[in-house]
Amino acid sequence: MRRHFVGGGIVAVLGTIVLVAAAFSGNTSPDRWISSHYTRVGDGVYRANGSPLSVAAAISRKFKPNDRIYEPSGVFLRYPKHIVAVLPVAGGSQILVDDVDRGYRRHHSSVGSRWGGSGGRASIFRGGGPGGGGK
Amino acid sequence: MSGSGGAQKNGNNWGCMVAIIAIIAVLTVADLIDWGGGGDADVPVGGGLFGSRGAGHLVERLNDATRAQKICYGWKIDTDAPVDYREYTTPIRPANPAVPPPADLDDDIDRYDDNETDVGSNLGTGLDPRQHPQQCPRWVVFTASYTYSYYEEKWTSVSIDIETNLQISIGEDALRRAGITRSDLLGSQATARLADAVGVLPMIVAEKGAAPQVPQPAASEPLPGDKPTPPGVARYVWMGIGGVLIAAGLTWIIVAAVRSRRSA
Repeated sequence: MRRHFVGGGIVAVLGTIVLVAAAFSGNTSPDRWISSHYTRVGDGVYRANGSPLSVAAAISRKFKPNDRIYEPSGVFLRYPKHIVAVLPVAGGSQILVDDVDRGYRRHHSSVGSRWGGSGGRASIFRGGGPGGGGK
Repeated sequence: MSGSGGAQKNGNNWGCMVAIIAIIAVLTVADLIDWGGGGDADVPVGGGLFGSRGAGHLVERLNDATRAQKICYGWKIDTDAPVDYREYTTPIRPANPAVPPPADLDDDIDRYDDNETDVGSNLGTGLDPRQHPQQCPRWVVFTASYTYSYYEEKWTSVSIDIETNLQISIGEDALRRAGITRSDLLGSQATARLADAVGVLPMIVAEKGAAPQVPQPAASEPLPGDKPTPPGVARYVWMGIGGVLIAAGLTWIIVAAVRSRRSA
């Protein structure tokens, strides 16, 4: 009998660990940190003195994004609830923080087809190369 | 005594069966989840490493950068995977070229000795700016050389470089500082990271003061039905797996307790 309690208990504890880890992961979003570290110049718009690459790297180090896009005109970071764009402006960077829907529309020319698409399915730059490697 | 022993043995077998089924279910579901990684479903449409749509996006963005900075940008990626690699079925060209296209364009694809190298630039797919000094007197090219393991069926190593004839030094460290590492280029999102490594070049050049920043591309509105991918699907799947494991563990304990009481 004791063996069953131990066996069942191990499976249940393992399940609890998986459930709790999944529930608490991905809830992080950098919007509050950005508002406290950079100069607010508008609703969801901030100004930083650093270059876009260094600012995006600082935000990514603090809050790991689900995905990121590097374009010639800026860096885009995807979080569960926000899209953060770091764009070059004279003397530094402009940081735009939007919810996912608004950010997807605003930056569609850069993130469209990659973070969404018809029916919500991305269609470009998917996979790990020939043979599906890296999976 | 023997009846009690038999019941306990049955209980043991049953418990093990529940645990095995739960573990198999977890592994199966985990394997079925689309983590955004590779797979046959992600073979790019239109050939090439990036597919026709991906290459088209990259070519247009590099073309924008060339217009703003008067510098050509390109890529040359040795995939080391001739079996799976296909050339672009239709060459991609920028809609509104920032520099005049090379003459006799259709015959001017810069072919390399093998059939596993993906080449492209602001001039289009198959065109290496280093081979077109008239159109591209100043150029920056991202190069990568992969090692493909037929046993593991994936890329196992990569060497990368950024070649340029500008009077600045750009190396792998510039990509690393931007957040793009070799490990990214070997991971489940390798194709996206390769596009990033090429796409970030104009920004690196601008940050080094060799050219102005590239302005934002013209805004485009999503078509009806074009919406963002739902984030964190995998998270909910893992939560479901956790719930199944908890239920399996509790069921094991309860059934074993009931059987034990009956046999007592």
